[in-house]
Amino acid sequence: MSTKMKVCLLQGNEACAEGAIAAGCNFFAGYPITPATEIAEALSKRLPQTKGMFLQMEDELACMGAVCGASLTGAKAMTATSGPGFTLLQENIGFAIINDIPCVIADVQRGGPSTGLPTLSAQGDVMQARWGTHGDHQMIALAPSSVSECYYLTVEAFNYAEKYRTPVILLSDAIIGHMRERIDIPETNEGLNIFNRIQPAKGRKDYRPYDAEGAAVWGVPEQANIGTGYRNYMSGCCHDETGSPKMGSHTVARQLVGRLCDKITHNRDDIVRYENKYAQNAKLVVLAYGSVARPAEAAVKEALAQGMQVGFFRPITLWPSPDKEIIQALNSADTVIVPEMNYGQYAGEVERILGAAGKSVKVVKLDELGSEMILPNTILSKIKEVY
Amino acid sequence: MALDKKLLRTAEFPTIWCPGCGHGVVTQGVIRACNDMGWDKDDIFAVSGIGCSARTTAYMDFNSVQTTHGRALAFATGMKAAHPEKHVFLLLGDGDCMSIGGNHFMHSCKRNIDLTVVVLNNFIYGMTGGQVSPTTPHNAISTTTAYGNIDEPVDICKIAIAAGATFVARTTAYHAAQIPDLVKRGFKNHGFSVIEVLDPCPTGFGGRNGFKAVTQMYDKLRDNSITIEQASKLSEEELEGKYVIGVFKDSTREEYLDKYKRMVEGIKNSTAPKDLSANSNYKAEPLKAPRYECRLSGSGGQGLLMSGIIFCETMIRQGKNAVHAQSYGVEARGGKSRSDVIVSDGEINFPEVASADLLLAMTQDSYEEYRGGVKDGGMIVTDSTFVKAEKIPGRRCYEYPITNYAKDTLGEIRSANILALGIITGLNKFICKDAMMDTVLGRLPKKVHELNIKAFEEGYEVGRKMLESKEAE
Amino acid sequence: MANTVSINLKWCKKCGLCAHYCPKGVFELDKFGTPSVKAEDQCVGCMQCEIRCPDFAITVAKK
Repeated sequence: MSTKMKVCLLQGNEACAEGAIAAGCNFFAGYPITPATEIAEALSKRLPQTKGMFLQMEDELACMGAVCGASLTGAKAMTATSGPGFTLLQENIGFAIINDIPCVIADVQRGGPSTGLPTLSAQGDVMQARWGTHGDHQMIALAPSSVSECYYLTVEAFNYAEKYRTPVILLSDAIIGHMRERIDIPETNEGLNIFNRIQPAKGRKDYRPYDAEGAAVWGVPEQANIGTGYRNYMSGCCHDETGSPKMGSHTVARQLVGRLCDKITHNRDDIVRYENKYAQNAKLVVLAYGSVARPAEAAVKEALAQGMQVGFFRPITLWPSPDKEIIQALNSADTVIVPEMNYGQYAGEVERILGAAGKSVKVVKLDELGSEMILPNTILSKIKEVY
Repeated sequence: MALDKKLLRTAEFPTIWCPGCGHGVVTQGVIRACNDMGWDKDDIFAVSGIGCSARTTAYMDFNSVQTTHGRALAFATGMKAAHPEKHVFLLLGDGDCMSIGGNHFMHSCKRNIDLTVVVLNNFIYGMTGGQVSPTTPHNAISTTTAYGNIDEPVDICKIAIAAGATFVARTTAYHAAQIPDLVKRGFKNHGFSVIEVLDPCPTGFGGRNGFKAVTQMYDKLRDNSITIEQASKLSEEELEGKYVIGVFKDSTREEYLDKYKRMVEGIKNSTAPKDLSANSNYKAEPLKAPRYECRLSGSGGQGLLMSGIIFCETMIRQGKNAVHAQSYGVEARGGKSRSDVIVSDGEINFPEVASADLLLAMTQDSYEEYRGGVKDGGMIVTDSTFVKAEKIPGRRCYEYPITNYAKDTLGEIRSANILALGIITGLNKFICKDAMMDTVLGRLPKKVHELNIKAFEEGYEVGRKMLESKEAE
Repeated sequence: MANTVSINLKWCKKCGLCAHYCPKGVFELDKFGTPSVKAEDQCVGCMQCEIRCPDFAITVAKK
């Protein structure tokens, strides 16, 4: 049975809010910040309309706390922010990680660091998305390149959060967040394959909230929502499988942190999303993500039209990085151009991936830090220069 | 009354606290209160922060959640808002509540959300070894006030009242029997309740401040506590060093989640996105090229954002693909404004104008900045009210006193942007006039429909004449 | 009335509060501060020891 689709004009941020509603989001705690505020504004109407909970909290520290609290009880919870707020969220993102708490964080990036450029786009939070909170951890981060992806990747973000019981970041930016384009969305969410967290059977004598032995999804404990019949003590401390803090032992900590990291890396084939287009096995590949993928693809198409053999790779999950897939796409390449609106953050990751695989491919950074989107001609000039 | 030991999480005992620490007394008082309420353990969320006080919830066989420093109220707010039927209370230390958590404490009081907070005030940061806290007495010694605390302590109850909490009380760990009663009153208050309990920290505070035994600290609480009535008869000086205990506030104010529920029940509309599916009545000529680029430029306040959105929506109603991208300065009014609309029957990669098919310039500045970006054979439309335009070889240049017409003839300067849209529609046969008009009327409030129909029609006629004049050339 | 007073020495931390506040001298502390029930028959069931014990180590059963 096919779902009826409707054709809409939405702003990226509005699409993110609609995607959240479609995914079953029923709790949002936010704080105003340019250029993400429209997500909160949209949900301040849509959540009450759909009998969900909307809270404007006193700061982003409280937002993430409220999101964790709500999610623990079973809510599909989300917050949305930009760079300075994303910095404040990190504390409780760490709490969510160590306690396997599903949640979604939208970061609509702007110029940084600090207050930076509130109304101008950038991609400077890429590494922060990976390592913003302290301690060893993995992260799932998705980078939309269109209004449509703002919707569908938000749905995906909720699905990943529920399936892997982890925070998931939607790493958008001011350009994508504020642009409006045509988007076709389903009237109902039937065809969207919504995933809901797995709950344990009631009355189990052997229930342990952080025990993933034999779990349906590798490494992911089937943890009961609090208030549904299993009572345990939880904290942000290193803990054993019952939740009891075990702070005197690196052994226990290693097991816990190991499982938390491994649950992402072990399942990476299911998580990783990417696009690999145009000339395959080309000597030159352009790798771009988020809003920069738009002019990058335009430049590659123009290069092909002019007779050059150029490939195009777009990571959709920035984290975990599509390392195997990048190696494959660069199999015959001498050079990869990485245009991005930061000082070469993902180019650094590409260098790391190539180094780890022992491949010598020249990584050419193209870091435009102006106020405008990188122009297709700028990328095309670089393509011609290195071809 | 016998304490039901089934309420204790005995696997975690003995407690981590020092001998005589008041936290254990408070924990027992809170558990007794829960015992008396007769609640199902599964329905109780016991939330704490960081510090010695955080461990209180470990010893209670409820859904016990120790959160991050200062943020317990945020977590508890999320839990309660997601499940208002659950019983949610918090045990917080003085530092956790009043220092790092101060902002959340104030806002929770203001919200009057149905939570009960028991503040275990031992005047010190105990877990980390005894540093000064917001409630450490003046002149007291701590590890970070080796020369005596130069600061004055804050009164948690006064702040709670000022910020809007509806039940506020104080007692001490000496007055152990009072704890369950006050906590129960907090539970029963349908709003934000604060019960502050002064409790001894023998290690972090006591040893450094002249106490030889923890019993002396309890004795001091006994000897220096006075009731609210007794305090009312004393001068400021006489109150020095006294602990005023009792119920400071017991009032009613509509609880936050009740208000939210009431609001939700009153909502009948939906702002779900509208379906703009192609209307077969919208007929127009096809696009002449795979990609059409239009740039609307001028200053903030000229309505170019709205025009761009309307144009973009019209194209989608006509079954096309379209993107709108906006760029502006930080000023709320004035400053630059630029709306780009890209139209295509296929995929659109670059979502901004690279080489414009049509440039609308409503200010001299924007005309000069963007005129060079118009492609060969492209159109430039300028508002002669503000722009002195030149003939540019290879470009089709048109001008019209858009703003003056809007202001003087239509009587409303803010209809200029719709007049401009009319011109653009008249100039381009791939735009269906009815589709554009429908979008204009859909996006603008009813009270300005008549005005904007006039503006659009005028603009359309002007645009058509412009198109025919050039085609005749 | 004959109440029983019992001390869980596994949990007791020898803070001395029970003996300090008992109005009837039911408890005795040894040189290490460990409490023991010396005069259980004196217990009037005021419950001060039980509710003041920070370690939940004392149980008074009223008969």
